[in-house]
Amino acid sequence: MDSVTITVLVLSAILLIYLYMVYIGIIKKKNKVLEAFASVDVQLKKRYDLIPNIIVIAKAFMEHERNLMTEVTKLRAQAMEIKSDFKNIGKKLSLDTELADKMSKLLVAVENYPQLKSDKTMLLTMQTYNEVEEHIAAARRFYNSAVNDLNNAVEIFPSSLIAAMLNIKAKDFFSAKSDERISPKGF
Amino acid sequence: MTRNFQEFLLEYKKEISSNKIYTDKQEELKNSVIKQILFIIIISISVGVSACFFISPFVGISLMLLIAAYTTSVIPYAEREYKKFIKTKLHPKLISLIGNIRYSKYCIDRCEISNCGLFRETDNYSFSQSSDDEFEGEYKGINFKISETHISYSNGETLFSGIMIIFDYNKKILHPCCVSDRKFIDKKQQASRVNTSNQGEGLVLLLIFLWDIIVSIKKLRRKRKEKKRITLEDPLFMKRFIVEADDEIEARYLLTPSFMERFLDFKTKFKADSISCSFYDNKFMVLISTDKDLFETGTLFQNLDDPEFIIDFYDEAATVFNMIDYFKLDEKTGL
Repeated sequence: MDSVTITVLVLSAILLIYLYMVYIGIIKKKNKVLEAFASVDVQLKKRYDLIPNIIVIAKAFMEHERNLMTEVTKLRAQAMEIKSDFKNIGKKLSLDTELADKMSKLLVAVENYPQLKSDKTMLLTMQTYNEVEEHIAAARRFYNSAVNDLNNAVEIFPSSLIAAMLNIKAKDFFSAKSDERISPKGF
Repeated sequence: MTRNFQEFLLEYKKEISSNKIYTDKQEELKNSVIKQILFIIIISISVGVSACFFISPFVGISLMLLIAAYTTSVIPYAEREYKKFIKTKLHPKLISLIGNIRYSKYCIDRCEISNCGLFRETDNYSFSQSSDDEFEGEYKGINFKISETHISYSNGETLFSGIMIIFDYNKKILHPCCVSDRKFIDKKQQASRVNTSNQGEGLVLLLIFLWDIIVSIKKLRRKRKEKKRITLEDPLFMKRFIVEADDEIEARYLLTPSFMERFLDFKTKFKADSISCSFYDNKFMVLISTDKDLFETGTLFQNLDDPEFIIDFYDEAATVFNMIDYFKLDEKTGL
């Protein structure tokens, strides 16, 4: 073999290794997004499990908020019906935003019911809810960070070529509405 | 409950006026310094003048200056004596005047230091603590421990020097998370290089080289088990700190955007050289690196009634209480 062939072979090997590394990188990033989505889903499930407890306690005191409670129950049921699949992420997250918004309103309304506000079970449930909210926020941040990494890889050359070949597309970020998080006071 | 500086000053003045031992000791040491200096001056003049007459003026003046130079060691010695006295007698009372805080020897041990995750066992460090500056206390239901700590390699190269503060943390921590200042990491790497380069020559160097290869292989294997580096959203925060954790979600749960902002500001607000922190075992540890000798009061020649005498001491101790307020450690919202 002459030196030119050897050089071509070595360069091809280097190129192949490089392309393989890029491929591994994209797949890893894609899987990280899926992992992040699963984490968000787990945290959302925690919230869904907690909502009935809040509603049961609140029902006894909050006569004037019946509509809000019905809406929350309805949204929860809708959100739980959506299959935990990455394809449904947009739908799931938009429903969740709506649900979180209504829940925040409900928890703010608790302020108007001093008897309920001082109820120990309610206090504990609301603290747990707050904790779950923080975990959801952390999981969303993790999801956004994973999506950011993947989108960079999908949009920047040369990894964009491999991503296009693999049919991997940029994903949507999760963006919270500005008025979404109204923290209940006193917790 | 903590006292503000004016209240603290009032209590301090009460203590000073009711207990004369501090002023007596100060007077005693001052008088002793003056006597010693006078004695040295008389001796130096006598020796110098005699030498001028009997040997030569040059020898006389030289001897006079040489003996007079000895006076420079008298003041630092008396200062040290006085500081030692104040530390053992006055500081425990001063610290309890600020709030619910007391002296507690060895409140932070090696076990705690290795658990925090900021120092790895492979760093092969030894550590020393200045046992006179260790406190334990409680503020707004949060227990805390403070220790002026010096951690170094066996060859004396410093890994960390400053104060170490541990707070009880009200969030459940399942996986440790470390936030290391890039300056702190650089210092650790620099100290590590000096530690290995000072160990020998020739054959010993070869053996060290081979040993390093084995260690590197071990490290590579261990690296899989080590914490992951995490990139958070705040670019300024990431420029100054390195975040390592086992669980990315838990790390984000602990390091909220507002926490990152406060931690960044903390460095400037408290004029810290470098600052790192760790979350582990439901505790929050902060390492503030500084070359300054902390928790010190005024000097032998400073008036005890002068607020300047205790202002630094108060400020440094109050920093800990401020930190609980600043990082909202007593709140459960995590904001």
